[in-house]
Amino acid sequence: MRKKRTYFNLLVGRPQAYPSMPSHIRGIHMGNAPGRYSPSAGMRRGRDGVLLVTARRSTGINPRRRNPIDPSSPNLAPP
Amino acid sequence: MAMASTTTEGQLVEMSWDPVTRIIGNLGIHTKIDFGTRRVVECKATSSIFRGYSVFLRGKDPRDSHFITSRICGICGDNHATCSVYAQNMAYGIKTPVLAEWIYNLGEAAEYMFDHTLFQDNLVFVDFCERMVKETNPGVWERAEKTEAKNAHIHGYRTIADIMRAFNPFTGEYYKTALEMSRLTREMFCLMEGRHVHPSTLYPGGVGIVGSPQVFTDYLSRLVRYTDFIKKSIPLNDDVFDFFYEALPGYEEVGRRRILLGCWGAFQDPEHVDYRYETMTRWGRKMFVTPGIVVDGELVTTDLVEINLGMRILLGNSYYEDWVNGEVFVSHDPLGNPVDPRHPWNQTTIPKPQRRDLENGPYSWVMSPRWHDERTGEYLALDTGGGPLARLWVTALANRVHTPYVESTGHSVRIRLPKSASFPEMEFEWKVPKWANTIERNRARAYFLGYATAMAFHFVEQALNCIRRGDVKVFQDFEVPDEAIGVGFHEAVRGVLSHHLVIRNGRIANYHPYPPTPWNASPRDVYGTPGPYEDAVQGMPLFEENGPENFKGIDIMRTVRSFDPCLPCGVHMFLGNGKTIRQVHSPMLGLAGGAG
Amino acid sequence: MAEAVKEVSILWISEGMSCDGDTVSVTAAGMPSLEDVVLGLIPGIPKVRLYNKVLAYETGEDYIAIFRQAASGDIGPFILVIEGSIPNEKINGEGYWTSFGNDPETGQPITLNEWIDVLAPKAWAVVAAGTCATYGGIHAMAGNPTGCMGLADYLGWDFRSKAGIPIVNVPGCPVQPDNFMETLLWLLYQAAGKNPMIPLDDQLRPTWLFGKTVHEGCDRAGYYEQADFAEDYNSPKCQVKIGCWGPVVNCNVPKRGWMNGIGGCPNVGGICIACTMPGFPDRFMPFMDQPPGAALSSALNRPYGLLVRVLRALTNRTMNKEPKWHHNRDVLTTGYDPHAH
Repeated sequence: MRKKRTYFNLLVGRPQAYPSMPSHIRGIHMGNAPGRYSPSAGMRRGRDGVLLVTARRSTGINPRRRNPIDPSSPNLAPP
Repeated sequence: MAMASTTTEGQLVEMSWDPVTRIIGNLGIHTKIDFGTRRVVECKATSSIFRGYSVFLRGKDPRDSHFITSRICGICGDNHATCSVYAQNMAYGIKTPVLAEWIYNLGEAAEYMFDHTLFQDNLVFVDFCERMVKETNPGVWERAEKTEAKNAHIHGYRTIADIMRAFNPFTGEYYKTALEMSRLTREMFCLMEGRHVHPSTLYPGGVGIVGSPQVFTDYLSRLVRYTDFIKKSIPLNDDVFDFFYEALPGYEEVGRRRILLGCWGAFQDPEHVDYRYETMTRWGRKMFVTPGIVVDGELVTTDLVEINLGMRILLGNSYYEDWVNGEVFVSHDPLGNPVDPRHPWNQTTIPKPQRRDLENGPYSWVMSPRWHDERTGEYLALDTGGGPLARLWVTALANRVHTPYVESTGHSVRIRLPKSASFPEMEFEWKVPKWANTIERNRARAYFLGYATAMAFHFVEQALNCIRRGDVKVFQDFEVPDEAIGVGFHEAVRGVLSHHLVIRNGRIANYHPYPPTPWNASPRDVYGTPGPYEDAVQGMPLFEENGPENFKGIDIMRTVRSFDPCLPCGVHMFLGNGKTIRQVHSPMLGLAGGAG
Repeated sequence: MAEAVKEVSILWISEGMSCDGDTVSVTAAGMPSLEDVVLGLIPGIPKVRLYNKVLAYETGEDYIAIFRQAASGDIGPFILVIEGSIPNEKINGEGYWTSFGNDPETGQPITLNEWIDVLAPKAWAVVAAGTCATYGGIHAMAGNPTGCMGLADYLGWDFRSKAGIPIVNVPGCPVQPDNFMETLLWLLYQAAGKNPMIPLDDQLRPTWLFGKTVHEGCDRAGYYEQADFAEDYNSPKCQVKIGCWGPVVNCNVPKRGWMNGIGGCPNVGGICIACTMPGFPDRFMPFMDQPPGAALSSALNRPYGLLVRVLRALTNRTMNKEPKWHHNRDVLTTGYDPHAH
């Protein structure tokens, strides 16, 4: 079997990889996949694609007590 | 010093500078100079680092493309990442949430603030520093010692010589301050894009930065400190450049070329952008730096669809197999317009590395990006003027940007910088100059820094408004389609940047980025149109006082650096009219040095 | 230990297959900064002369002269820094993948590999800056045409410099600014006779910089421990399920930030794509996919995490209440007793 050949002036041997090797495998979970919001994420899809958030987004410890007490305040939690 | 050899034509001397320093990437400049008439008769440039982005991107997941293409460039990689995200948004049919769009704008503004500061003050100004001016134009130095700086009351340097002393590398005061400012602005960048130069927080569909007051006030506090610096810097730049015109009459011919400028627009307006090709004309015109093309001083278009359709990649004397009879990926754009086989969407690059044959065969690895002007049929060799010149020129003429901080007037751009620690509110006006030459390219860079700073104030306000209304969404989820096309238009620091993407079977089938350097440094194409470097350097007068024995080529170096060459694209450029002096050594797969 | 060196040159060649990002990154360093080192403001190190083309005053032959002198053995001790992937020049016939300057006699370009062949054996130390130079990096991904690799693949993993130092790899894409400057500083102290041999792990990385995983240093790891994971990029929580490779990557960026404590990667919402690792990028692509181990470990963690959150919530509620003796009544109930002991 030929070990080396010339491909447009480059010496090419038996491949140890192929170009699409590091591409997506169907079934593996994707971070960009839609439909990921839930109460445990502290995020909910509102009307018109708006993102509604609660303090549960930033903490798992007593999140309900970390929401703002004034309804006119925006719900801002630490990054 | 240059490597020199005399020819038999009397005073005609071959001189090369390889490598050119104080630029990004690998570049060699080879010239023939007539010391009798003090003119550059011929000029060629070569660069030889080939990497192969357009080859190894094929077959990969398109969601990885902004991570990968960022690595094309080590100073402006984030411009590539941003442009790639724009192209992916189009391909996936999504738009970035409003807050995330402001975050992109803030990050890119910080990038312009960082890069132009570092490049102008630590790289370009070494060509104008005390040591360099003494070594190349002692007469100019003497005059500088006696010339008062017009804006001394703002920047604090009494004479032009004082300014030049402050430019000295590592010891000059202005040099050192600029290095610190380049770090401050990079911190601002990191707040928005995570890390520099290859961002961590950018994703197609948005960002991962958590929208909270903290990140914007951290940015704003640094922006206010930077504002103080830029208010001193713009008048200082004006003083130095005006002095050169005065001290060396005729210096406007140095690096001068026909006004053929391209700008692909920067800073999306989230109220208008939806990343759909069908509406691109409209949202392109709403960008806070207007896209457009200026030909001989006239604005011929501001339409990104028209700009897209006019792009052509021409071959000349290059080491590639022509692809025109091969696969056509995109025959018509989403609006039904036919797409040329020489358009980046349809480009297939098949390189053939071989020894250079200067006399008979192909001798270059560069292709020539050109813009096909429908009105005249010409293939225009557009340049970016280093970036800022084209951006300011197009925005000024287009008269579409009207914000409280930056206002275009039809013939100028007004830049309003708010109060800062040492100065009250100040306004600067960049007026469209008479020439596209070395001095004006450099001057524009200082003014564009003011532009980016001013716009950043606007972006911070808008971002804080999102926070105030509790709108913290920064990412839009999506699915990758099996078949799609996308294009992103953006301004890299040095100018026009486009990414053309074709997806097949959910993987990248074709990907061709075209950064600014292939445009600026393109060679003579198959129609004989010369590239911008050639125009700018060839025929230019030399003012340096040295003879061939200790010639530094300072006017040539100033011209080359005025374009802000960024070569990691791996450009091979041939700027002469027929013969290369130096061999091109590396096979250049991919673009004309674009992501090569 | 070797004789102390009084002056050392740093010969920096960024003409590997490079984006010059590591050079640019190093200009962001503050701890110490390039100027601090070059101007001699750090006590106890040799005098340093830096030759890097992005910052150099000289151009062309004036600039490359020092490299030619080093090749002829005519300069004192120097540290050779290589940036960019090392190409495979055996596969391209008469072509070249990279070059740095030209041969003065033939006018032909000199490849990076030729420079490495001549300079590395003469160098006091050899440093590979950035993942491209250390392990091949992005340009070495599957399907690439240049066959490129890292410096140790080219020179041999058991290469030793003139001073007996192995190749020093400082990976990162780009290299984190202070990681590089700290490594350089160690070597400078070593040259001055003050430091012992620089501690390097089996991938030739400085152990004090790369001896910890991203996860071990990430401030979002608390979410992981509580089995509270981000399901999309809008979330401030642990990102292992949406692409972060932190638990298995050797890097200190989340711990020290990107520069001056600002920025970073997963600590600020950017999934770790493992850019310091020899397996980068192929073993980690597609970056936005969930890493295989994350599904298992997050599932195993869930019962513990749920329980511990409940317990912590109880305690947190108690701790968020002031003791009852803080009040505004007209009696003191704090247990104050002057005779108590």
